[in-house]
Amino acid sequence: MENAIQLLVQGLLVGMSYAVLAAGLTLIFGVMKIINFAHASFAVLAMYFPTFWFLQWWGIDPFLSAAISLPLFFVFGFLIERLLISKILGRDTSETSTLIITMGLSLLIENLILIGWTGAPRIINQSYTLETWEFGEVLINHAQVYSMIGSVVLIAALYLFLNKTMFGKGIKAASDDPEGCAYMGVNLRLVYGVAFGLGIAVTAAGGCFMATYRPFDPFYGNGIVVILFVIVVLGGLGSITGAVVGGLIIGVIQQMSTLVIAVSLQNVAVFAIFLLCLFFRPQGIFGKKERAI
Amino acid sequence: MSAPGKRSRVDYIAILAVCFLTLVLSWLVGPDRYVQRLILLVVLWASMSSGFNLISGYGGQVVFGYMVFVGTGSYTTVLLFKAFKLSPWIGMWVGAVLAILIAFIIGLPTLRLRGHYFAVATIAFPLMAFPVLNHLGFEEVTIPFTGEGLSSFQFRDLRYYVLIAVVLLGIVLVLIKKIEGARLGFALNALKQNETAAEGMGIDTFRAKMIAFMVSAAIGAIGGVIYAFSLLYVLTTHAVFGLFIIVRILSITIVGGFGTLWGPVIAAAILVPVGEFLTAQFGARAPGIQDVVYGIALVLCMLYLPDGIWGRMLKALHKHGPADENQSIPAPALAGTPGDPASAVVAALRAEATASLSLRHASPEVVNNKENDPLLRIKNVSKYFGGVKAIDGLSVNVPFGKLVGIIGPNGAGKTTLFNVINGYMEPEKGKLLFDDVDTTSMKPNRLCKLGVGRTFQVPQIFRHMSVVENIMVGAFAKTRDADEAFAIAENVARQMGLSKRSTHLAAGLTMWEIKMVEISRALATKPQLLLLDEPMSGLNLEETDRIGAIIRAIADRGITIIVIEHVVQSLVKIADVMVALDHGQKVAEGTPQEVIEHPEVIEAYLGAKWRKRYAGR
Amino acid sequence: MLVVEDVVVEYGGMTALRKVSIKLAEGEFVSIVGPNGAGKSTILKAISGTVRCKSGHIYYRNNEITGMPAHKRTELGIIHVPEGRRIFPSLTVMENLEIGAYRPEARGSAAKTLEMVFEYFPILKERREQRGSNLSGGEQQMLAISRGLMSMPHVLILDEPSLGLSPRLTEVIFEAVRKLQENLKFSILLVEQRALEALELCNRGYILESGRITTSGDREQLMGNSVVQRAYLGAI
Repeated sequence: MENAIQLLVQGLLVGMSYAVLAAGLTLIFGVMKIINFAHASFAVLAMYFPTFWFLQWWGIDPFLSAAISLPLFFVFGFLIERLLISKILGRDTSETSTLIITMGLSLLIENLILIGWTGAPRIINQSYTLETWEFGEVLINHAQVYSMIGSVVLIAALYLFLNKTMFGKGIKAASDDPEGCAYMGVNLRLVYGVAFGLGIAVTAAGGCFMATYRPFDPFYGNGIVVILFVIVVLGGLGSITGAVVGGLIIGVIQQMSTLVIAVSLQNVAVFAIFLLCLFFRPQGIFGKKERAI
Repeated sequence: MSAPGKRSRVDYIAILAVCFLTLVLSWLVGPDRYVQRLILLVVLWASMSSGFNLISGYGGQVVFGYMVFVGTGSYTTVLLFKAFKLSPWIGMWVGAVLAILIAFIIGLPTLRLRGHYFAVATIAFPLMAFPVLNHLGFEEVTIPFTGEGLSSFQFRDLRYYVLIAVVLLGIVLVLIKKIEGARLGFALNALKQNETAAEGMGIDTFRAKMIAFMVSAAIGAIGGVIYAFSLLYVLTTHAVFGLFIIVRILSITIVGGFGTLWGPVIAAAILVPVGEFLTAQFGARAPGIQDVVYGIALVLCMLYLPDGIWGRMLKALHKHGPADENQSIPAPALAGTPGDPASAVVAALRAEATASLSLRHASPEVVNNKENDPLLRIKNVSKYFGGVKAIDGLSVNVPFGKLVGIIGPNGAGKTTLFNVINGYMEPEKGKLLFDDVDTTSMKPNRLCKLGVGRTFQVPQIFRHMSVVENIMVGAFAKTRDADEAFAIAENVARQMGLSKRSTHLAAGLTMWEIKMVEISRALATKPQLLLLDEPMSGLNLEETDRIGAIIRAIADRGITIIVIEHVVQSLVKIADVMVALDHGQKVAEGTPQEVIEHPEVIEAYLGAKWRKRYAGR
Repeated sequence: MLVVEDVVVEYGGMTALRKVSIKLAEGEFVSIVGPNGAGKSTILKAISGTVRCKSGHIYYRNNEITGMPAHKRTELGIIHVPEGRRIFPSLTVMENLEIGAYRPEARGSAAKTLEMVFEYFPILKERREQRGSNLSGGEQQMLAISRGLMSMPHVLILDEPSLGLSPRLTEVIFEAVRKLQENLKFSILLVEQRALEALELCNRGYILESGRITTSGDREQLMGNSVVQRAYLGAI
């Protein structure tokens, strides 16, 4: 029984980390209607730089690095959108074209990391990395809890920005009807750049959080990018709430499925849910009835 | 893509030449493993990419999970070989069949999904194969080397594998070439560009995609078998199900040119050696340099060369017709006068009308039965969108052989009516009877085959096909043979005055020509009922009258026509019967004169008060 | 105030507007009527900058704005309420209205404008927390127009506000538009298929057929004129 609770807690904590990354991905999709295949790679990049290296060089704590990542990766993401993505958005094959170009981007990021910083798995070792709290037989890792808190703060901030600021509302409007926005005086090009930049920034910070409690290598992103897709589709493309709920659900399923199937098969359960979702409720839990078909 | 003709033979000769030269090269190089391996890799990647190209490039359905087939083929064959000593020559077919089955199972639910949903859905499958196979203990499977032997598909000399791979490549290229010029190829090209229009031209898009998918799967599987036996000592899930496989294949296909025959071959010949060279030279200091190059290639290609190297060259070679108004419409001659180009069209159509009329009179029963029955019966049809009643209890009988005009203000439900007749939408209530067949729930492609042709409010031509190819798509609705389709298309093109433009890409045409192409394409489907949705929109006054004359001539051929129009002045000149709709209901029906003077019709356009105050009744 | 001179617009390979010229003075209410497909929406889009002109000029308060991007024209106070009740379906009524005040000049007085909007369309005040997608057709049209008002227009461009609405609702909408123009005195350019209502409200009108202005005149000249009827229904 304790085992089940342990797995549940684990699942929620892990799920929250996924949720942050998924929130960025769903924001980008919601506004620009594109899937960013390189999304997880940005998170991994952030794990190396600034997180790992700032710690190595100047002893800067990963959570501080997360804060530094936000503006850093926002600019990075904004530039990528303006220089690469926007060139492809106008085409009528933009859906698969953006998937392909972001796949190329992810290849570049991952392999440049490999060349520059080797493929050896890295671990962050801060004081909270190994410490745990004990509740009966259930162990809860400090780093994961701090990450969860950080994630909640990030997502709340994102939510506030989108719903309480004029520009944020402009972004929401652009998700609904890009052409209609032009009639309001919303500068669509700026909106796209900011939305992409925000999505990447949030993801990067999420990556910094994840680095505090798990080892990572240049290709870690490949393992989780499809999980992120699953979460985003399950939660409903474009819905931040959906990303959170979806992330938690998937995190829990991933962990708790090991009660009934082998650990190595835990992702099969995740994919099975994905396929079921696509076929029976493609708009996900919170999504609009956008035509997946 | 081109009509059957001289160009095809050049490609076949080229295929033969490339295969032959590769074999010669391989033989001359001798048993140097390094070079042979390179040649083998080029040929294998070219083959697998060509297989991928069929569904993703030609069919436009990018299968990001393609490696599931490569893995299926290799794993099936190796495991059967290991467990049952089954000769890989047989095992590879088992693998291919299994891959086809998997394609069917994957495709059944996913092929109906849109673009990126489809792409992401297909990735899930190979990623599932990983943990499952690993869990079953098959993460690494040593391929038993039972010594040299033809039956065990194991040769020490790589040149034998090169031979087999070249044979595979040759077969794949010939197959793709054949598909290009056949009905399936046209269907894929059409649905890739415009699935809606393709359905309306009688193409069963799902079936076409599925066939292409299954063939692609088989090719990937067999490629995988050769790959495993020739180059791997140990078969691992990573080697054949890994992400890097789709990366290679995608890069090669994109750099070469999606949907082109030679694109993947050319790109493989460039990228594979470059990649291997880089790994050999710099692999120690910079592992992953190969993927960096592939990544850069992908990004740059998508930005600057989306058609690929070969695709770009083909575009440059193809004739582009300049949208030169002066060339197609010489002088603004009035409709009906000798200088008017439309009169040639009308004359050609009339000539055929006389011919077919005499045919009809040859069989009197047909004449008697048909001429009095309505061809299309719309019975009490209602179509709702949410709470809005787009069509509300509409009943109309469309008489056989007549030209019916439908008018009504914006939002009256006219295009919705067409969509319901045509099968794009299904009514919530009511029935549709076409030629006494209940077509209420039928899909557009079946209705097209039954004899309902259509043009669209915004012309939906296939922009990346030539004029004659566009029309051929229509012709394929009633024939399976490419030569016959070409003959029909050329005939219709000639009648409609498009002969000079027949090999020009549809994208460069004037509005008039585009409309002519759309009508021609619909005519090529040999319709009994032709639905024309706002054919006059976007034309100036002279062109409007001209197209009116052409439509009238088509009607005189015996084809029943329904026209939706806003340019009522021109419509009244050609229609036999008019129907006026407002708010989804029929408000008037009768001769054109009756309808345009009908008080309710005036009210619909100009308002009740106008009618009361100024329209006299 | 607004001068459109010999504008030609082409897209999709066809010529939508063939040398169209219209004028709109300060405080004037001008209607453009004509059958569908005539290009009425296109001329509005040319003015608001949503489509580009192939040739011709557009002047606003004596400055040429022909090449100006759409969002800059909004800043000038040229506000286009597009056809089809284009509101943001997943945003609430309040959020829709707030977005309406996006342009800098309008942000300051947003609260006041909001009050006024609620006076004219009390139903919007009632349903202000409801999502756009949950409103009825008529309410959505009110919301679309209100959103335009929130931008504090100098020129309000209305594209077929009656589209898809029942006759009764159409009357309500047009009545509101009339009152607004009376009280707030901005210029209105109205495009409508329903000739009577559009011509009743206007000071001057144009008839657009197949991309060309075929008739123009002031209200008295056009009302009841058989020329208008013929534009729609022709004659045999």
